[in-house]
Amino acid sequence: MAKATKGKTATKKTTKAATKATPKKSSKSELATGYTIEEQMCVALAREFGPNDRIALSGVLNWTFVAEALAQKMNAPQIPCHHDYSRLGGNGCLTEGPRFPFQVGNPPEEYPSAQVTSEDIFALVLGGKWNIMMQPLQVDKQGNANLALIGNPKKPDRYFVGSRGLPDNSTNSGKTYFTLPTHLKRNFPEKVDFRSSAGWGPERKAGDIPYGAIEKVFTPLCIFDIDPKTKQMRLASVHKGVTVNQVLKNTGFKPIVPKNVPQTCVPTKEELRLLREVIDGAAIRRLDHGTAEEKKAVFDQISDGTKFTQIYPDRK
Amino acid sequence: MAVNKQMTVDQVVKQIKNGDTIVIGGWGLVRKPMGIVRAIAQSNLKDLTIIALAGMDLDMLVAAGKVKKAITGFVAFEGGEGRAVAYDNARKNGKIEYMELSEYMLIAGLKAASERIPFYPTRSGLGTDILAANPEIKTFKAPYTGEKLVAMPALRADVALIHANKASQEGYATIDGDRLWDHIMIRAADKVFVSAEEIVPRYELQKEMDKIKVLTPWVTGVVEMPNGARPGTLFPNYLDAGNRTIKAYMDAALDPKTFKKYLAEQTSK
Repeated sequence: MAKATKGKTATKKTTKAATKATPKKSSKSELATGYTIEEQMCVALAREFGPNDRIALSGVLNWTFVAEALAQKMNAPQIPCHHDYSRLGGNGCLTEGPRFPFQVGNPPEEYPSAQVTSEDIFALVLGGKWNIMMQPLQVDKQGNANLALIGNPKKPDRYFVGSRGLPDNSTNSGKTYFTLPTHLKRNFPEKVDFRSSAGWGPERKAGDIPYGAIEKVFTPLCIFDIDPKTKQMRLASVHKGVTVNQVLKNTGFKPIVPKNVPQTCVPTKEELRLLREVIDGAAIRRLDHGTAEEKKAVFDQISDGTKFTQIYPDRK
Repeated sequence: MAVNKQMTVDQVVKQIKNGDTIVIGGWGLVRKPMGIVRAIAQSNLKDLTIIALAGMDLDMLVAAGKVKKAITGFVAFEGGEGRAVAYDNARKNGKIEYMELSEYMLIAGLKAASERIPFYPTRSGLGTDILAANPEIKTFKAPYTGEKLVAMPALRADVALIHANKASQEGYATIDGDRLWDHIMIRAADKVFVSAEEIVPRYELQKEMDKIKVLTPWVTGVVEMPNGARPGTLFPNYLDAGNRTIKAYMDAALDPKTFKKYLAEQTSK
């Protein structure tokens, strides 16, 4: 946020600067060095949200909650962050400006701004206001996703949890994203075992499903989007240090690969400062993809009681 | 004079018949009427159809061999640690009939039933294998715009079971947190039984009128059932799912003998 300034000229100047797209100040738009893949992913996802978005739901991964908190600090200060059940015993709640660490879906008691019911949630879904990050088991070439089961639907090798809200989101919601904690061949088959989420199959191509189409898929290796011509999954960018071949070797289908695959966006110094110093000092963003030792280091930091007031400076 | 609708859990079970369709309130492990569910699991009832956003409720009834068909939006121990081992096992071995929907398709079916209309229009399910797996669910073209929509068939139930924080003998009940979809579920059933942590006089409930989410015209009977949603959660009474109890359940669920013993132990507690 721009600092309050005295005098007419100064105010005018600030307003002009603030109307520009992020980053707001040239010093802040300076690109960072020494960032991690998780930070790249947080920034890439956060930049998906802007002033026209009403609300976003982060699903179950830690880094997506951090990304959403970053979006709140950057281009979409109006979106509340939704947290599910747990401490609230089945009550969703909305929070503004969360700072971590806290277990995702389990904000400290003083954090929630309001409780949210299942009916509120589905009203937002059905009204197209709900932007959502989902974690399916499989995503295929057409952008269909499966959360239901593994194997033959009639006699599955394993029933997982069913389709849950994926069929609802993929036909009704605002922007939808998949965020997968792993990038293995089995996560990205030619065809999913069960279409829980409607991708770019014949029904959407025919114009029968106007809403809820998948925008992007975030993995620990890359970002996929949908090729506008073929409506198939396209390799949009690879994260720092990841090669195109590495992605192809770990993907069960053959995505559309443009001649030049760019690197996933580089965070600005300001984005990195917000991530590291303001939103996520304990680095819970690393919990989803890190090694066991990295995770332990994060947990040790979280369990250190002195960190709590440091992370929540506005709380006593 | 109001009628006293308070009854025992055995009286509730007596009002359920073999082959009945039962819709169960709550969500995952959240605010499930587990006390009544355990009583059904130990009864002689059979061939039940269960409609639920399911967790241990459905799984326990499957483990007890009570379920002919499950109609679900999901089956997961959401809100605690563990998974639906009995349902997974029944699906793997083809031992159960099922209609696996999305969350909203299930609600849409209940909405249709509650309004006595044959189907509810929705986009949910378009372009998914839910329609392929359930050919009885048809699509149609909207008469005004020609848009393709799913005609989710009405899901009518004989019995609805829900759990509440407090209830009065007259059949009013409070729900402190998210009422989830219980208000739709009770309207889609012929008989409605509400278990509550405590039964209190009507004038006590009046003090928290804004929390009364269940009205007496819908209610057949109320049962006092302290800890009635355990090992799941109830806001604000108990918010941590009993993960040790859930593990004990999962360890017992797949062996009929062990499971019988487990149920007996749970009920005597």
